[in-house]
Amino acid sequence: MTSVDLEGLARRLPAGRVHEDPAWQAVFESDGLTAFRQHPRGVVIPQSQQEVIDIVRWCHEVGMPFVARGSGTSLSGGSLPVADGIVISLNRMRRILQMDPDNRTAVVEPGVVNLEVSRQAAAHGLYFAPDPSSQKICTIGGNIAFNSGGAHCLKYGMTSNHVLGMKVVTASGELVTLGGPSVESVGPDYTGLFVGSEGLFGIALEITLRLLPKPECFHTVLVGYRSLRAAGEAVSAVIDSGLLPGAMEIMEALAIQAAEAAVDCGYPEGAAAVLIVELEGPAERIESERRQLEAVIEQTDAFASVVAADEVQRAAIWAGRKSAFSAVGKLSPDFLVQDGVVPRKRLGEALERIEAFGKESGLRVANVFHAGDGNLHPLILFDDSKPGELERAEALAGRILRLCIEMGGSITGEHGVGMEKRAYLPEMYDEPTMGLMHRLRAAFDPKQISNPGKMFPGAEAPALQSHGLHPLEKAGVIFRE
Amino acid sequence: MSDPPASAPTLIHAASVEDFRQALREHESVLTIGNRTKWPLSQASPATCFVSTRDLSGIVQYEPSEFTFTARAGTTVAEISDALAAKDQYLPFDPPLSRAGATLGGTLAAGLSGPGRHRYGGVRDFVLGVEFLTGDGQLIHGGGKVVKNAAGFDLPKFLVGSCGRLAAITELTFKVFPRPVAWQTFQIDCPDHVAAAETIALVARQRWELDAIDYRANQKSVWLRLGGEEDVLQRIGDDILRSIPNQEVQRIDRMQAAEQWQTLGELRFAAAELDCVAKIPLTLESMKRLATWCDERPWMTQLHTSGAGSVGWLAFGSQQASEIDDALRAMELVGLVVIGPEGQPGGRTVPCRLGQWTTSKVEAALKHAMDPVGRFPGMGE
Repeated sequence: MTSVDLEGLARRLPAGRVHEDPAWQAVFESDGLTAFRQHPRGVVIPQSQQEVIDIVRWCHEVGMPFVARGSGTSLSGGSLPVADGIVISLNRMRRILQMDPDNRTAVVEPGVVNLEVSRQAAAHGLYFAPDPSSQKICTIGGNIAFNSGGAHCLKYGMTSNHVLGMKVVTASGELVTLGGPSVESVGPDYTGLFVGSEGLFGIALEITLRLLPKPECFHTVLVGYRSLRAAGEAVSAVIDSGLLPGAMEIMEALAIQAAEAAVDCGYPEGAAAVLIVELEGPAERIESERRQLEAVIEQTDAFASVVAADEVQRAAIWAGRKSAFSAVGKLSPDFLVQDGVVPRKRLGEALERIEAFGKESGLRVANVFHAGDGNLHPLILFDDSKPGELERAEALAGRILRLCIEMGGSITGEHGVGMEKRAYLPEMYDEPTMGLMHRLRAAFDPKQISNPGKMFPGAEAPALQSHGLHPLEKAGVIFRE
Repeated sequence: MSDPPASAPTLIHAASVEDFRQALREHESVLTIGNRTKWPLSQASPATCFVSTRDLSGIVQYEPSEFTFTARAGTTVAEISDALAAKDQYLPFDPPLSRAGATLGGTLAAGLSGPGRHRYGGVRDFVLGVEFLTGDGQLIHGGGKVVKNAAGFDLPKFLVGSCGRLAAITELTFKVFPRPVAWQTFQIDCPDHVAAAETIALVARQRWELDAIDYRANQKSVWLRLGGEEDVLQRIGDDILRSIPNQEVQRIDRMQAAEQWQTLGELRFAAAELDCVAKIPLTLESMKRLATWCDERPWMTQLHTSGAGSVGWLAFGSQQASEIDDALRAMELVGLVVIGPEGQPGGRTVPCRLGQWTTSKVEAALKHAMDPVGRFPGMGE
């Protein structure tokens, strides 16, 4: 592999596309999961669809591994480079090719930033619903690869629910169109298969997205509880009442303290847990649903309740939640974050067991989670400079993943498997299912050159190095869910 | 359990995964059927062994507080809807052909969603998990049983629309939502298809959160459906009546509306002699073209669209199938014939695919990955 010269690739592309010097290699050495670092062989920055196709076809011809990458915000190491391979950086592929307000669709290139789609659609009263916390900088290509989520998945689903079609170059160099311009299609749902394939199938060149009308108004409530259990029971009560909130989030004490220190969010003092519930929709509907929600919350064991009176207060409530992870990260030199899912009714039990695991391993765990869909985000705090703490943190993370599987949930709700959780995928899916996934991958990528080493266990991994905040998190540019 | 006269196709009623597996071992060609409410999709050669899921039925688990249920593939949509309704929940995408006896597995395999798919998405957006057999008899568990899951390839979505040609589905897990207490339907009569398309585009961008935006092309009537509490329906309804410029909007009597939606849900909206119905993915532009083409042939076609003009249900007479095929090709559209005259088992009455279907190399490779021994017949076989 190493004998292949990138000169051959450079000759097929306009000048200045291929970069092999150490400075470029260093810039692309890791993504949002800084635990893993790996210098790629080179970095290629195509500026057109045809250039991407040419690069992929060359990689297929010579057997060169490649990792497609957008803004590199993956929290599972999904866009970690491969030592003998190239990174194909798609950030220059950032054109919105079509905005169709009548059919409520947008056709975009993979390097378009998530929030930019909503910005452009706003003029038509529309928006793109998937809202991962990194939406200010993460790209649609990455959202497609990892089927990104966000705080509003219960009501609106994940990225896949908002992708209608794609033009794709497969890892074997074939140019194919999946799905189409309509929300409905006939024949197998190849679009659905491609979304969430973690870059193992090829590269999406053009993506047709579904846009939704912007909700007219929001009703955001922050409720304080003396125990985590009480907050969890409140979530069940809201669900059982027949309401379908846009978002339901819980933060526990350690995360609240950290958020207060970081952004002074003014959450109820002395709360062991806070619950954020957000309703959204037409004013008439929200007026009716807010009364219903108030009645439900009144029946729970709440000691404080704040309703956002305006957009400023709503933003303040969300600021605490959105800053939580970065803030907790500052309490500790290093941390690991997981994003397993458990059935909603077992949230309380899962959290108690995670707390017990933490005590056993002598590590602190802070919890912030999407309560509405059972998506946990335990944050394991440790100090890599203390011998053995990294290993204990890793072991604790593994116990939490296994707990999610044991409870009938998933090892990942929205971050993807990537590098980080690949050892656990075969614990979630049985051998025949894993075997079929390998076969499907081979259909797209017989040479296994597209993002190798991700999702499936087995390949060599670079050593773990550190788990501190990503530089962009330190700067307050990106946040974790 | 089988009744194979020498030249007639074999029919097996599988009551277990093992029955399915045995059929895959013993027969060269195997096609899963439910209650055959979408007859054209299960046309295959007489050499095919049909495996019915009729006895592979029942809700395995229903957790209202989780918004999820798991059911065997042969469970009827009607049975599921009843169980969900008892807990004030529903499948918002209005699975079609419920009264006719459509099964959950058949609905997913055919990839069919009704008018309600407009607001929250279709069958692809509600399926969470799937258990199925590959052609070589391996039992696969794809997806999960929780409402959020990003682990591994999305096998449940892959099987949507696969029509039994990629796998034999044995069990499914779905997400459900709380059901609105009531619905109100509105009708907007438009002068022509252009005005109708403009009206659809306009209402689809509004703040109202409509459940359904449909169009009965021959009557040039746009139908809107709104779900919610009574006072919400009244107040948003008042706003709808005020907000459509230059068109007359009327509230439709609830009983009449329920009947209209149900007739549509059973795909029985056209005259009886139009004995076929095809699903055709559309945009507003192609909807106008197709509707205009149908205007010139009222004796042989009738078009209804759902999802704000994104899917057409084209009723036509089976004798005109080849004319429809030519027209769809010319308009660069594709159609899947889901309703058609029933023939003999193993016989053929109408093509199930119309228009220009193409198969890429990777699609063929994916079929081989799912069915390495070639047990599941192709769509045209």
